[in-house]
Parts: sequence; C-alpha cells; structure tokens
Amino acid sequence: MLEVEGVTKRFGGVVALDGVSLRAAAGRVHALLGENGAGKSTLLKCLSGVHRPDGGGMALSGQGFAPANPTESEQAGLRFVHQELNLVPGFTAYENAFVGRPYPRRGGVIDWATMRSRFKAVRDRHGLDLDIDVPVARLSVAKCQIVEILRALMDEARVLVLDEPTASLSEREAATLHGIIRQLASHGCVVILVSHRLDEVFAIADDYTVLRNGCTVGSGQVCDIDRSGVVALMAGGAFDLERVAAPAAAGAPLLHPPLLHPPLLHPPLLQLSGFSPSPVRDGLDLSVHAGEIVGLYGVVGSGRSSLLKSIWGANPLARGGLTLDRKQLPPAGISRRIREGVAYVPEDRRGRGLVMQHSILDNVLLPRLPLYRAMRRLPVVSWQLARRGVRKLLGDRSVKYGRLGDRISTLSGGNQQKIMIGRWVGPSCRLFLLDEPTRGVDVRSKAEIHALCRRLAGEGTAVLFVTSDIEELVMLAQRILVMAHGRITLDAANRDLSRQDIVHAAFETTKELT
Amino acid sequence: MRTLTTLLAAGIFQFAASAHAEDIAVLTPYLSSVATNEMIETFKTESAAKGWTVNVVDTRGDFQQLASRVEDVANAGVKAIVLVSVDPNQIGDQVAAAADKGIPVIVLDGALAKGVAINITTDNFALGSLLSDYLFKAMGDKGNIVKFFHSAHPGVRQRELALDKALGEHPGIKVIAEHYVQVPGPIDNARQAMETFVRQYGDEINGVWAAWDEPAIGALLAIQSDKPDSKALIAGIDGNPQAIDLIKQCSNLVATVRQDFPGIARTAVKEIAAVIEGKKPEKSEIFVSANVIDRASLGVSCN
Amino acid sequence: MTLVSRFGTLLGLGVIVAVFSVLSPHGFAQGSNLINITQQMSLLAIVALGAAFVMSLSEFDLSIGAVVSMAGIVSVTLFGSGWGILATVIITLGAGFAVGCISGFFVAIWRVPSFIMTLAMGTIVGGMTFWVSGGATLFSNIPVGFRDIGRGYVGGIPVLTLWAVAGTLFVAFILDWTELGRRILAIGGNREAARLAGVGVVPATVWAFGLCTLMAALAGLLLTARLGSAHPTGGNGFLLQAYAAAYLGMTAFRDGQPNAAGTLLGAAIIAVVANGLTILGVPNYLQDIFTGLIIIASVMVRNFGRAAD
Repeated sequence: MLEVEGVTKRFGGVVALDGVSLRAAAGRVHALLGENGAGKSTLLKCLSGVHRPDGGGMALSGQGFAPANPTESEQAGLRFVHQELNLVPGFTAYENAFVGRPYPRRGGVIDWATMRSRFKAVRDRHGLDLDIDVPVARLSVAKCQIVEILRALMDEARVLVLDEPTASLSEREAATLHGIIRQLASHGCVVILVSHRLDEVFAIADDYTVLRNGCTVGSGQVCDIDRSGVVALMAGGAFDLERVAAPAAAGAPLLHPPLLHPPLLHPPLLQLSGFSPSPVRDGLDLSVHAGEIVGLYGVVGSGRSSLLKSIWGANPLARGGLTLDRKQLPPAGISRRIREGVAYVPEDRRGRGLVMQHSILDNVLLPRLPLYRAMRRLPVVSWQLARRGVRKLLGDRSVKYGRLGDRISTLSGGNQQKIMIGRWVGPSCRLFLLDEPTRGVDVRSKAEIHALCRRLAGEGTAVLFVTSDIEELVMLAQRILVMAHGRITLDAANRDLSRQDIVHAAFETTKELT
Repeated sequence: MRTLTTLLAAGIFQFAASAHAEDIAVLTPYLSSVATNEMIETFKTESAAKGWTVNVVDTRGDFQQLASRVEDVANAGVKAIVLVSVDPNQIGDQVAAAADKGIPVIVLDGALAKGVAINITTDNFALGSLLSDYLFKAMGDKGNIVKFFHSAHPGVRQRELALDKALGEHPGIKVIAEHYVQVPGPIDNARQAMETFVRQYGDEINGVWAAWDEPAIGALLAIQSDKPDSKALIAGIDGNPQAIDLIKQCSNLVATVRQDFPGIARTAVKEIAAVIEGKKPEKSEIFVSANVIDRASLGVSCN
Repeated sequence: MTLVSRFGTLLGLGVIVAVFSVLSPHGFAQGSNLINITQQMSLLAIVALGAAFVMSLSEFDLSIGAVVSMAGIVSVTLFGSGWGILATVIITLGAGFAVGCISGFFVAIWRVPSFIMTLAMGTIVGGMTFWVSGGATLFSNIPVGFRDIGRGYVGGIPVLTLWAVAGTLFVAFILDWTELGRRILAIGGNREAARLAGVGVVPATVWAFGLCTLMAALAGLLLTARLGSAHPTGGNGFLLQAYAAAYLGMTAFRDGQPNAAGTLLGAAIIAVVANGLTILGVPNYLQDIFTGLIIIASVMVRNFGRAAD
C-alpha cells in the first residue's frame, strides 16, 4: 500500500504540486493520469527521491516514507521504468540487468554463470519469453522494455512505477506488455502506470488518480468511470475535446471520421510507383492527393517509418519512381524535396527531431534559415527578422515558452512537437510527412496538432502521417493505408472501414508468416 | 575547490617572494637534451656561488613560446638573458628588443646574432671534423657509414657540413644510409632506424656517424640486439656520460668528441659577472676547446 | 543560465590577473606587459578559433599543429623561389584550407572518425613539411614587408593583437550570423536531426574542417613573420594548447557551446598564466602544473554554475 497525502512542491515561485493525494493498493494496477505539466513527473520524482516534498507526507505499508535520494527510494522497494530505454546496446539482457548493481563475484572476478542464472530465474518467475543471450541491440523495442522491467524486478520490488511503458510499442506488443503488467500486480506488487493511452488504462488499470495543475482532481475505480469522464477530469470542466479539435474559425467542425474524400479528378500530388526503401524489398505503389489526409498504419517492423523517411529522401538506398506533381524526383536527396515544398517531421523528437541542447530559436530556424536572410543573396542571418518570424510562428501554434533563447529541452513534449511541425508550415508547403505526430504528447496538444493537420488539408496541402495509435488513425485520416512486412495490405477510405478491418490488415501477413 | 585555490596561491607566493633578487633568466627549447642540461646545471651551481637567482625556462622545441618567454623576462627586467642550445636568429626580434632594453643576451652553444653580447660555444664545424677524421681513420679510410643527423639545430647542422667536407676528402668512405633523428626521443628513434639499416645492409655497414651521442647510443642498442657480431664502429659527439660508459664496456661505440660543457657554463658565468659590473666583453665569440674520448684516452684495453 | 555559468570564466581571468598584479606590480601589471600578453596570446587564439569550428561540429582536428608548421615552411620556401608576398600568402592559406577539406571530406562521406582521420592527415602534412624543408629551420629570403604583418604596432596596439581580434570577429560572424555557422552547430548538436531537417551535412562538414585549418595556416604565416624564421615542427606545440583554450572557451558565455569570444578568453587565460608565472620566476614544470589545474578549476566552476541553474 502506497499512500501520498497532501504533498506539495514548489520550484521558486512555481507551484508544481499543490496537495496531491494518491492511494495505491498492493495487487492492483493504479493509473496516474493527467495532461503534460499536470504534475505527474514531479510526483514521480518525489517518490524516487530526486525531489523532496515541501509539505504533506508519504507512507509505504503504513510506515512513513521520505526518501532523501534515489538510493533510499530503491532500498525501500520502489522501482521505476522510464519511457526512454536506458540499456547498453552491446550488452545482453542479463549484463544490462547488472549495470549499477553489485556484480556477483567468485575469487575476486565477476561470476558470469551466477549473473546469468540469477537473471534467468527472475525471467522464469514471471514466465516471460526473452532471449537473454543476445545483445539487446538485436531485440525489438518491446523486448527491450521487458528487459527494463526485469531489471527493475531483480530485487524484491514493493512498488513498480511504469512511465509510458507502451509509448513506442505497436498494438500487439502493447497487448503482450499489458498481460505482463497485470501479472506483476497479481504477484502482490503495487503497480503505478503513467499513460497517455486511455484504451490502455481502461484495458488494464483497476484504479485511477487524475492530476490537474498539481492537484488531485479525481480518483476511484476504473470500472466506475468512462473515457469522457476521465478526459473531463484531466482537461478541467470547461474543456471540450471537439471544440479544441476543430475551432470554429477553421471551418468545418469535423471530429469523428472525416467523411469527405477529396475528388480524384486531379492527378495525385505524390505518386510512388515501384518505390522501395531498400533494394531487397519489393517496390510499392502509393498516391496522395492535394488536400487529403492519409494515415499510414502498421505494427512495428512493418516498414511504415522507413517508407516515410524514404519518401523524404533521407534514405540513400531507396529505389524506384517517385513523382511530385508529375515531376520525377530522385529516390534520395532531401534538399530537392524541401525546394519542392515537402516537409517531414520524424518520430523520436530527442534523437532525430530536435537539437535538444540548442535554443528554441535555433531549432525553429534550422530548416528555414534562408527565409531570414539580411540580404536575399547573402547567406547571412538577420536575427531581427528571425526573432520576429519565430515569435509569430510560435504564437500561431500556441506554443508556451519563456524566452526564445531558452533551451528547447525546457519545453514540454507537446510544445516541442508543435514546434517540430510548425517550423515547416508556410505558403510553399505542399506535402507534409508526419511520423507519429502526437506520441508522448498531452491531450490538448494532440487536439491542436490534429486541428492543424485538418487546416493544412483544408488549404490544399497533402498530409501523410504514420501512427501506431489506431484511435488517432480513425480520428484524423480520411484515407487509411495499412502496411505489413513492407507491403501495403489495405488502402481504403476511412468511412468504409471498421477497426477490425484495420487490425486484420495490419496482422494479416504476420499471421501467414508465423 | 578552495583547497585547490589555496595551493595555487601558496605556490605562486612562494616563488614571488624570491623573484626579486638578482635575476638571470636561462631559456632553452631543449632542456631534456643531456648536453643542454649539463650546461644549465653547471651554470646554476656557479651562479649560486655568485648569489644570483637563476630562473630556467624550457619550451620543449616550441619557438613561438621561446619568443614569448624572452619577451616576458625582458619585460620583467632581469639582469641578463642566457639562451642555451638555440640559434638566436630564430627569435631575432625578441633578442634585439631585449638588447635595446639594455639587457645583455648571452648565448651558450648557439650562434651570434644582432643583439647578442657574447656567444660561448665550441666550434661545431671543428667538432664535426674531429669526429669525421677520427671515425674515418679508425675505419682505415674506406667503407660504408650510416649518418644520423638533425639539421634543425644550427650547431648540429655545422657538424653535418663538416662531415660533407670530410667525405669529399676521403673518397673511400660512402654514406650507405642516413636518418633524420626525431627530437624528443632521439635514442629510441635512432634505434628503430638502425634496426632497419642493420637488417637491410648487415655487414656492409662499417661505421656509424652520429651528429651527437644520443643517436649513437640508439644505433648501438640496435646493433647489440639485432647483430651483436657486427664490426661497425660508432662515434658521436658530446661526451655524454652514458656514451663514455659504453666506450669503457668495449662496445661498438668507440668514441665521442667531448665539448667542455661545464667549461662553457663556467665561462658564461665569468663573462656575465663582468658585463653586470659594466665591463665590455673583449670578444663577441668565445670558443671552448674539445677533445676525443676513446678507449685509449679512458685507459681501457679490450680483447 | 546563471551569471556564474555565463561569466564565471571571465571572472576567473579577472582573479588571475588580479593575483599576478598584486604579486608583481612592476613586472606583470605594467601596461606594456599587458599589451604584450595580447600579442603573445594572439597566435594561440587564432589556432584555437579555428579549432572552435570543428568543435562546433563535435569533431576534432588533430592536424592543426602540423598545418601551422607547414604554413611557415611553405611560405618561406615560396619566398625562396621568388614568389611575391600576396601570392605566397594566398597559396599558403589555400594549402591550409585544402588540408582541412580533405579531412572533412573523408569524415563526412565515409564517416571516418575525425580523431583518426586528422591524426593521419597531421602526420602526412608533418612528413611533407620535413620533406620540403629538409628538416632545417628556414630563415633566409623572408621579405621585410612580410615580416611586418606579424610584428610592430598600429596605433600602439601590436599587429598580432589586431589579427587575433579580426580572427575572433570572423569566427563569431561565421558561427553566429551565417547559415553555414548555424548548420555547423546544428550538426554538432544532433547530426541526424540536422540531416533530416535538410541540412547538407557533407558541405557543412567540409567547410568547418577547411576553415579550421585555414585559421591554422594563417597562424603559421603570422608565426613566421613574428619569428622571422620557419621551423619544421615550430607549430606542433599549438595543438594541445589550442584545444585547452577552445575548451576553456566553451565554459564561457554560452552554455557549453564553442564560441568565438569564449575561445579568445581561453587563449587569454593560458597566455596570462604563462606570462605571469614566467615573470614571477616560477619554474617551468610548475607552470605546466598550474595551467592544468586552472583548466580543471574553470571546468569545475562551470559545473557548479550549472548545478545552481
């Protein structure tokens, strides 16, 4: 039993936690919910001993609990599994499990056999399927996530905190992990689950606590509430999903499956014929029309992200025909695509999207430097123009920030994502390629990003987005493409499809192969 | 952090306290060279007897640094600047500027330049001739030699020129291989080069001409490990104590030409004392004599 | 970013100058000596400013010392064969630029680690320098007009100091005001993100390496003019000191990013320490120890500043 009672935490003048309470029982999965900035991370850091609360109290099995540092928290039996993987790629699962933990020794040197058998015992106790003898670099993301969890469970754990454990997993992998999480709870552990995926919460959580602006605004059993109830709690009473998703100014108040399919009279804007991200794969055909929002869905490993990256020209191995507005483009070469009005937003903001240690200003400017020249022909930056332009752009995208010179890492995930997309928006933009545009983003930013996609399409821009969130797919896409093992297995208008059709198409080839 | 600062401060204060006595600045880019070191050590001992404080600066082959440090000591107003084993022409402006400030610049084992009060040295060309003549005679005026040289040092360069002249006079002697010795680390560098030569030429090598003793020692090490039966005769210059020891051991190293480094340093101290008293030096260049050290002069008999 | 982390290094220089001034009011604290320090630091500053380009890329160039030496030997050799001052300067700078471009090309296209690539390049350049010079120090045939670019004063300020200031402005301009500079910094921050955002990684990398060795060649020319001679290994000592200065520079003004003003400051710290300790008569080996400790101390100060953020 983990109890948190009236915990407060202030950073300078900013109140991060303002009387948060939470009661999580052993043997149950407890969902901790809230928009980004609601105080979830701060609360977790209080539990892990990184921050010390200014007020209130915490208790573990009835005993007062006030960790002064992460070591004390760990000694008390708390384990944390974070969204980002922290594994050494070249190490096997069991080598990773012993990083930061005393190695078993025999005669002064590391006892490899004991190391392996101890890890294997933990794996078998939880009945998990995992090859522990290969470097984790060769495991799937889901398996790596399992390694992270097993690492946390090497010693007796009383509380296991999972922060967005399924964010980078496909539906099927997530489902496997859900089974594991339920099973961990049944072993008598307190499991705290932080997630942005409501379907996940409703699938596996027993209890919930919702935070908003550093306060607990609701808690109870999951069976007593529905989705809109949770969304209402997270967003506050005045929040209306539909209103944010489609502001009146932007025109048609569309929400659930946009029914309009754009007229196919014009030739497609983007046309792939026999195009393939690598010479060893079969080429595929695909078209996207101006003003159309196309969702590309598939499980991890289906090749959707690499296809999108290849369309962007970032893959030197790509082969095949690619035309943009009837103009043939070489299979690789990014700068040419930029000149033709293509934009691309990669997944993995930290690793591939942004330069985290640089300023907001620098990150916004990066792809658009020539727009802010002091003189048109000289590649010299006019900071005055740049600042003005960037301020306006951030205002349009309702990005919340302190100063333009602040590091971009100081912004929330939602604001970072809005910047990654917003920095490409401009009159010359004809095709947007978005890879997981709303991963790890709070509900409000997600709605804003969706609204932006619809507005762009309304202005005639083509949007092709990749997602592993089926919810998002059916909510945003007009046309749906499903990929499995490098092939397109489904291409149809959203209104003609059911969820079952989509899932079936995504797993079709997988079934055949296994 | 605080400890670190305190240590730093304490260190600086300790030296600052002693920095205002009668200061002589000794600067060289080659302190790690045995001969240079020997001169500077003798100079320090002799200066201590006179009650002078000597500050030694070594720039490890870096001439830009050497120029800067000469400027610094000139600005600090030392009584005299002593440059050791360096051609003052390489930092001509700085030397001239120091002289303009009225600071006498004395060069040991170097050369004359504008602004230099006295250069005290052994005539390097004479050293080279002495070495070449001795080696050629020992070889019976015919055979092949390996040459180890280092033209960047102007004095050593003179020895090389002396060798060229001697080769012209002894047509029986041929240079079969030559190697530009890397400094620092001359012994090991010469050893590696010699290993290659030994493998390549074997008994064709009759002699090794080394522009100074360190490469001679390196060449000997190579012969001792790779071809102990070699009859090649090795000779160098400087009278390096290690070389003298090796000559005593009846190795292939048969001779070294000893410059009188302590003599150079002692002469320098005497001249500086005179200059400080306000006397004008009689000559601007003073040559200190040299002699060959071999088994005979050391009184060793081999066989 | 707090004031401590932004101006801590500058403050450090202030403290060092103050300590030396108290200890040696008539030697160190003389105006003429302080002006002289700006001259002594100038060549190191120029080499370090070049290094700042490749450090902005998060790469290294270990050939800069060899390029400094090469530039000196090349220029004196050209003078010896009758070339004029302007032609000699242009050819020498071009040769320096080319060395970096070659390294940059290999690093960018084939992803050869820059450490290895430039180590090899530096060794090759060093060998060619020895070849051309025959290993000897060259000091004949240097025209007086050429020597004047590295000595003397303009309006009471040493010419070399003016070169260093010009170099600082040049690097600041490239890094902060041109698209090339912003791209170089972005590649250094996150190569993949920069590439996916459409930054041409290959040209920017080649430029950065080229500009780095161009600066080194400039320093080599100025060194030759200052000494009136060219030594085949005369510039090798710059390599480590330049990175020390550039690293010190990263601790100043910008939160851990290479920058021109900071690099100048870094060179100033190294030069002040060397000058001050020489004037105080501190033995040579202690100077090295002090310089090392000061580098560590400045980095610690920066980290304390960061922790306070």
